[in-house]
Amino acid sequence: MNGFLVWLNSFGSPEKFHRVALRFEPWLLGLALLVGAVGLYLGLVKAPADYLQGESARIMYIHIPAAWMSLFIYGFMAFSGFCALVWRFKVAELMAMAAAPIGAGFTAVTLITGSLWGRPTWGTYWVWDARLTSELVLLFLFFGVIGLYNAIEDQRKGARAASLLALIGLVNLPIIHFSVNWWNTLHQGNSINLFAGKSSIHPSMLWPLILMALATKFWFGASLLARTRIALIEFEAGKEWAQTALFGPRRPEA
Amino acid sequence: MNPTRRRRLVAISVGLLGLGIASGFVIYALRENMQHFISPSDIALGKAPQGHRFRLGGVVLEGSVKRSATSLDVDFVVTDRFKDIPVRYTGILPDLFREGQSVVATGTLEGSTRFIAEEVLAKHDENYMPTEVADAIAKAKAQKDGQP
Amino acid sequence: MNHTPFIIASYAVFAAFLIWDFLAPRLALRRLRHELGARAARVERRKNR
Repeated sequence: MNGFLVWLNSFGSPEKFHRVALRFEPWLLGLALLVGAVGLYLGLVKAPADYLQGESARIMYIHIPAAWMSLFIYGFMAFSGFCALVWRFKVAELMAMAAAPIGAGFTAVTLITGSLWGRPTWGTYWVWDARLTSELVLLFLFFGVIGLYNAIEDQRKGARAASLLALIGLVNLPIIHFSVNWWNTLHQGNSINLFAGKSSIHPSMLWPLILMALATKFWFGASLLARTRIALIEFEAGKEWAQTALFGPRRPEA
Repeated sequence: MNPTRRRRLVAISVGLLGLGIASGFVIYALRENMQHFISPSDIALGKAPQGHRFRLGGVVLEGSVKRSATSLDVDFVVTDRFKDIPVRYTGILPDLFREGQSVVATGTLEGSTRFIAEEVLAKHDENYMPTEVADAIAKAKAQKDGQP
Repeated sequence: MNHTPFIIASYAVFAAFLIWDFLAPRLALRRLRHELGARAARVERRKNR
């Protein structure tokens, strides 16, 4: 626990965070594009069509990774918000708030691609079953966090209030995940079970899915670092390091 | 850990625990209302609302689909492998509507013996596989059934 | 039913999200740089007058 706090504290210095983030960003972005390209090639070209759904099954190569990201980012945001509430780390506050729009984006992609898959497969764009409804609630939770953060004048107070909302919304995560087991839903059950080790997706379709899941994680890392870094520059705009980051090293006085 | 932080940590943790328990109760209380559809067995037990619209879910019984030659009327039987219920639908069925596949139909009970559907949606299961694999499985199953 | 338009639309939505997610923070940084640069220039002018 103590070692973890020391590690977190090392991020505590905005200047150091900025330096480290700037170094990792291009690598994460590069990995995301590389792994994503391979995943898309396997998914769109190499993988066969589904025996029943036909070609429309290819939508799952973005739908499922995006859905995982929506849950993952929400969890990350809540965890980061928790650290911000207890230890008042400035970087944790900004990181939680930087994650919110990315999470909202992935949630919207999940809902839209799911809807586009539902039309040819189920015969409808939308139904109010437990899985679809709880994912829609997740989108509004993200909107709530973003809205609350922007509505409160004092930036740090706003970040803490929004973090609390994020923590409250955490109850929605198990509801989304288990909705297909707890209730009858039109949405199918979870195809991939990492813990039971048995998935009901054929390996030729599983690999592109795994690669896309990895690629979206890398993408999130790069985007999160960029957004947090820029929020830090804005927050500390008066400081020497931020001026250097914005305008380059200061010219010697004439 | 300093006392202020410890106090905050405990307060937030207790708050979240309370919230978790409260939502657990709410979900438990709502479990019936949050069902998207009911099964033929539920109807047999009298759980279906009389005169109200509701959703029926189940598998289309193999060999039960009869299309009318002159109209868009379709008759089929929905089963949950325990109880069956005949369904009448007028309209175009989704692509994935097959015998042996799941459907969710919205409509009302006529009497207590037949379901009149206004909308039929195909429910997909969690299996994804290439056509060749599906064929191979079907073939293996047929072979196994052929020599008991 | 022809599935191609649904697949294309899905991937287009995904691509649009990625482009937005990539550009949004970079545009924010550019705006910040402009704002702060303009403010510094104003302060500089007032000092020189």
